[in-house]
Amino acid sequence: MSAPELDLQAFAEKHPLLERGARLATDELTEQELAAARRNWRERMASEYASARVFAGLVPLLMKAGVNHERVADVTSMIEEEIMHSRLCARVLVALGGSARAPLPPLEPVATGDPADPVEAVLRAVLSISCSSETVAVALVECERQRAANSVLRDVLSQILSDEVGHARFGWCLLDELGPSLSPAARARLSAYLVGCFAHQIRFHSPFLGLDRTSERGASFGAPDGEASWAIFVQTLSRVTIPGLERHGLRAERAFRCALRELERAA
Amino acid sequence: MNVINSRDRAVLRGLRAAAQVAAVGLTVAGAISIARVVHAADPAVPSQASAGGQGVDAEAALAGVEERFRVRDLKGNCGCSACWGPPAPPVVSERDLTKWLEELQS
Repeated sequence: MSAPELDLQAFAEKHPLLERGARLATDELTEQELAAARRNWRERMASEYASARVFAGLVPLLMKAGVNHERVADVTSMIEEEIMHSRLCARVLVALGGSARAPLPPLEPVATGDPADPVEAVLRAVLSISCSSETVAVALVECERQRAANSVLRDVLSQILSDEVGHARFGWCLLDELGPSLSPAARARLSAYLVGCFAHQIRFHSPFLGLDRTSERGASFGAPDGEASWAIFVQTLSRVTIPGLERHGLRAERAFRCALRELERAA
Repeated sequence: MNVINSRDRAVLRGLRAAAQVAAVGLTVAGAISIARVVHAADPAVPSQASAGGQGVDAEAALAGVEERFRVRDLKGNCGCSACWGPPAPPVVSERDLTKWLEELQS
């Protein structure tokens, strides 16, 4: 069966990014740069949309763990924010002259294994979603925002960044709140989970390595800059996420080395 | 003296933003330690690697396997490039968890 398609073309035409549906001025871009920028915004449109279900999957885990209702409400807002980001990406895409239709990525269910302790299940999920993925996303979006070609794109990226900060912070705060009550055994299991989590992160971000380095001009419109994005991923993981998790009593540094060995074995 | 170009400066700003997010709830000492780590990523600043800067070891370890990943056809979330949206967390079997638990404790 083919992947379901996300079609935001009509929405983006009804809610154009620029007045009267004007296009962003892209005269200075080469054809390849413009095509790369459109492709990237299209992939983001689909990926942000699919991410809404990741936060939706977090809700039952939080409820089962008896986490405060305000935290549950925070996550329901994140579901909407991901959909809104997808729509924003579609509006940028149409303003770049692209078509806001794309197949959705594989929609894997949100599960982390089957820990007996519901708090451990929640923490596994936020270690992956917030402390890893969304923390890297904050760095990626801020980097692109700094390079944005104009105030329109900068405003779009600022809006997305502000939400990504909330998504990442959510996990770090939850770890602060729930972490101290973890038993040594649960803490050890979470450290072991990090092996799978880091291997997953490296696999997820590794396509950056296959992307060419774009010009500053291309990057300013959202064309992917694989080299810079990979550098951001590596540095965020090694200088922010791993030390941050170590401060919470998790053996993140060791888990990371173990993840590298796992990936080498699988190669 | 090293000169930072606009791309490197943007990378550094991104890293600083991530560090601020992760610093929530930290003591002043903890926040200072994060600032030092991020400062070490600044290409205009001498690397802290030789001084045992936190995080640098992991970076070096990853750089060692980077080439191997570069030549492999690894797929991200949608099969084309990695995106901002978080993927679903990985499902880890009890068997793998037990194996990794032992590895971490050895």
